[in-house]
Amino acid sequence: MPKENTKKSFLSYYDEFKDKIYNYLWYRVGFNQAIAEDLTSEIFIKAFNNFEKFDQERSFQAWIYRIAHNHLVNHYRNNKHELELDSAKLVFEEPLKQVEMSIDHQKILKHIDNLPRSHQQIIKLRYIDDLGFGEISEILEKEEGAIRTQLSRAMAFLRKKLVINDLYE
Amino acid sequence: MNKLINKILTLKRQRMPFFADLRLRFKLYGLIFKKNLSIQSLPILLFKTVSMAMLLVIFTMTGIGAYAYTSNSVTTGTKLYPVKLTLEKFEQKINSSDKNMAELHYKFSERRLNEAQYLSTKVDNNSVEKNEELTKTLEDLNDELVNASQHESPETKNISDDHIDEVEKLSEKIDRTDENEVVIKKLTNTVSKIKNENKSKTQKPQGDKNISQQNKINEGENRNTSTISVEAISNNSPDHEENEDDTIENGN
Repeated sequence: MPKENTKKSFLSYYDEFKDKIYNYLWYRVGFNQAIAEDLTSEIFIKAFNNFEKFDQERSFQAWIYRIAHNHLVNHYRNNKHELELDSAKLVFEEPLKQVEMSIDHQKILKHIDNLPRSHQQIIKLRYIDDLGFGEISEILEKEEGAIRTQLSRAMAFLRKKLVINDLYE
Repeated sequence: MNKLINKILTLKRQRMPFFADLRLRFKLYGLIFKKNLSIQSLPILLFKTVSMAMLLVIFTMTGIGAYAYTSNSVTTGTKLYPVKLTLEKFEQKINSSDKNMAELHYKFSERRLNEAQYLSTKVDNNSVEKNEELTKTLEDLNDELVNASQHESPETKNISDDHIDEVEKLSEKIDRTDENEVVIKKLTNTVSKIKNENKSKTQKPQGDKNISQQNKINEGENRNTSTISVEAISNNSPDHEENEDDTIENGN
């Protein structure tokens, strides 16, 4: 593929996925706009630098989400001490109040964030990031069937939590 | 379950803020620009950029330099005056012969005169700075005149009488102060010295004829002297006695 075409297509990919990646990060860094912006920037620069390695036959969405997922893992690892100081509740509850969102949505999000990490991940990827099972399996490097099973388990777990708290019948 | 899924699906989708998008877009444009510069195109691009910058600097410098070099209002104390002096020094360095140096210093003295004339119109009793600048310019004028007279040949007259008259007029026109008095005295002395030199040079052609005549006489004398000396040498030769005899015989 000629070099110039490659660059053009990267920018078109950027236009297509910038909001999705930003949204992905925003829901995972406690709705912190500044951190989400920084991470989005770092992810796209990383993607640009490795764009020549990207196989055009495959899904760019899965590729960029994979980069974002790994980058986020590294971010959490590097800022581990900060996360340990603040419990998950403190990290997400306070910023949630500042986000313009219905109370129902806030409660659902709060319960999603209280789920085990693997459950959280799969629900968010499927229903907030609108990714297909194939793409989720690529990102999390798991079989598609396993993803389906894990998602149904995660949803059942969430529903149970919501029923207990009289939020869902 | 579907109700719960629908509820989650209607969660807010956050869009990337405009300025964050703009910042990142520019970063990406920068990266694309850097990556598009191939090794072959880099020297050409560098050459183009550097040559354009050089041309710009040269145009600016020559414009400023030309103005500084020619303008009479660029006097000591102005920002462009060092440029003027630097250009003069450069001109001085590339001229090596005495004839050129004499002409050059004469040219500089004309410039200093023009500057001094310009400054004299600006000077009043209250402006200490302008007085100092005028004194400095007069001092420079004197130095240039001295240099011009030192480099010129004894025969030719480079410093015109008109120029000297102008200098004299200016030195008479300027009000004497404690600061400029010494300089004006120096200048007056230089002027009178050059005037005398010029006078003697105008008288020279007549004197030159006498000198050439004297030289011819001397040459003749030298020839006689050389004949005598040859004779004297020949007298001292081993054939002296024979010659003497010949002479006696011839004389007889």
